[in-house]
Amino acid sequence: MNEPTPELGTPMPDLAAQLPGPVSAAPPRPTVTPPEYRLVPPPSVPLPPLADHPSVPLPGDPVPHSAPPRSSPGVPGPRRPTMSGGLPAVTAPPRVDGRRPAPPTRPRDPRPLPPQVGGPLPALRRVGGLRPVPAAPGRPGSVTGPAPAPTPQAAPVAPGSESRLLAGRHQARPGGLAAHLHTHGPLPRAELSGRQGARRLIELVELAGLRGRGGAGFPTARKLAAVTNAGNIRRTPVVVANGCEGDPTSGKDALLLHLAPHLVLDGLALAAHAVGADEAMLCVHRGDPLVEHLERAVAERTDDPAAVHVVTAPTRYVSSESSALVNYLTRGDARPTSAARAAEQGVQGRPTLVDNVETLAHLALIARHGPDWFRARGTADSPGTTLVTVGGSVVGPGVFEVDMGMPIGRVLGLAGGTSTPTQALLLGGLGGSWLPMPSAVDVELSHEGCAAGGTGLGVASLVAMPAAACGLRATALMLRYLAAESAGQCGPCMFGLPALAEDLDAAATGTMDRELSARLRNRLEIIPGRGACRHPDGAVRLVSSALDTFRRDLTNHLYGRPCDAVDASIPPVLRELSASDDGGWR
Amino acid sequence: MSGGEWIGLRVDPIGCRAHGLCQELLPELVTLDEWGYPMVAGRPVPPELVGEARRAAAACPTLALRLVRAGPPVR
Ligand code: SF4
Ligand code: SF4
Repeated sequence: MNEPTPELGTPMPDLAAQLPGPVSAAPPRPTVTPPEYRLVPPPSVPLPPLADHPSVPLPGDPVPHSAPPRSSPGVPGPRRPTMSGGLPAVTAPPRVDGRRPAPPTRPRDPRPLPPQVGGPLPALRRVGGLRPVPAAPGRPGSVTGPAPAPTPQAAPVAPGSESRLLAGRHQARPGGLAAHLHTHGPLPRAELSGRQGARRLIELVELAGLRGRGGAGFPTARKLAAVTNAGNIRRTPVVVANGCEGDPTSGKDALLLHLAPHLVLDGLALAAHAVGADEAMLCVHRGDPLVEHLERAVAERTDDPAAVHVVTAPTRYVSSESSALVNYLTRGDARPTSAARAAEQGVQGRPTLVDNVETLAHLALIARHGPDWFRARGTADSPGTTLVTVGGSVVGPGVFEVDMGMPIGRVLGLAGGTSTPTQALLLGGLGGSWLPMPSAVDVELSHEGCAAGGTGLGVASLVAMPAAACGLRATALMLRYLAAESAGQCGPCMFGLPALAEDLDAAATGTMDRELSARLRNRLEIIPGRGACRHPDGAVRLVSSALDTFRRDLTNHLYGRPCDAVDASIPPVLRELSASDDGGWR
Repeated sequence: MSGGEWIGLRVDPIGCRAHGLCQELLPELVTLDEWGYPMVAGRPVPPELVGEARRAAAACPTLALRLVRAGPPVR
């Protein structure tokens, strides 16, 4: 149960020894078939069957589960953080969606219904409209490039809705440096050089009001300043770009890293410069098909002051938490810690800035266009745009770039609206909340808007829950997963989450005893805030919101009325969760 | 650390092994949850209990129970 806590004296992984050599010495990379792109016509044109060619990592897609059951801790020898240079060449066929191949078909609801979201929606361009599709078999390596793009006037684009982060998606090879420079132009390196420039950069971020896009929404300038101040000659700061998208409902980081790796790397270079770091790490999950793509991007760059390493971390839900990443990069253990804040004592005891990759991409745009440009979109408290992943029972699931503060109904509209009667939305991923429909459509996708709606923005993802499914059953499945993904270090998390899962199972199957309700409420009260990380807090938030949102189901089950909902109507992203097997935490 | 200073109790959730000793020594401020893990009152330790609290912290086999200067949450 309780694994021994890592000893502080454990030798640190020798990062430098495992680093890829200088750029010129990099081994030749296998050529990868560039993805083929197809432009989806604007919504005024009949849409092609969307479900067959998911745009991006689709939360709704069935994931093949070939993972063996979780192994016992007997992993042979401690695995050290794998520096990408040491990885064997990946021989798997290139994947075009940045995560997994598009499945041939998706089960569709037998009763397709018109979108439920408030009638005709304003004509907005699908940001996720350009979707990589697998190269047709028999034509290996064929590059058709982007389909002829409609002239700007032809596309019904609402004013101010041009995409920023995904602006380069029309390029033939969107990941390359040339395409990146063509789309965004060079970084104003000269203006931001030196200590003066570094200070100026933090000032710009402060004026822009950029908030972290990883979930917590912490002001980025405050973090930059904290790391800068903690750094000194003996403790040079480190910057970590967090691309470990832990939440299965979110695919935006994978899309961003696929389409605009150089925007993220620009942001990483700028952040490193701002805090005076000499080393930067771009972390993604182990086995992520993006690794090679990112290494290629890193190798293309020559002007960055700090050395950038692509690092792969264990594929676990909580290993994307900031203290878990720091722990992994320091001791090779990807479990969260209750140690000091990363800004003061992070990787190898050095002041460390951990920022989500999307945050860094915004930073790169703020440096180019300035704070006023950034604030021209979004709200005063949540400025700018954000990437949001929409899945579940919507017509066209995908990742969309939207203005912060956009009402959820309009976001659903970008995804073509709901595809079947929808009872609730999951906002903020597995540690987020259920919002009942139809009132959810009025909640605004911003930190203050979500707070007003009694929830938090969290991971910017939405999953639409069909009315035909049992919300309690879905939540029970999610809780099982969250419980299995606990790092098993803190009692209230390690015992509390399985207990919650059991309560929900009982509630969902109608086998509960009379005390269940009171017991469950009590557990929901005592668990939050008592783990080293926020994992249990998220689980509690999810369950609490489920009890409110699916109150009718709960009452029905309480009175022993059978539930006629079938599991098959639960969106696959919530139904087919299975705890990852990544050889533990190393 | 006397007189005017606020003192609070904190449990390091990773260090705590649910020995429950703290609850025996400091029942006024520590209760155990259904799994045997301590829940500490999130308010200042009253001055007359500071000595007891200190003893309880020292007795914790894993030193997971700590006296902290009360203020904004540490994390
Ligand atoms: S709260 Fe849970 S997930 Fe977080 S560190 Fe503790 S045991 Fe691990
Ligand atoms: S004495 Fe220490 S280990 Fe035991 S329950 Fe209290 S805090 Fe936890």
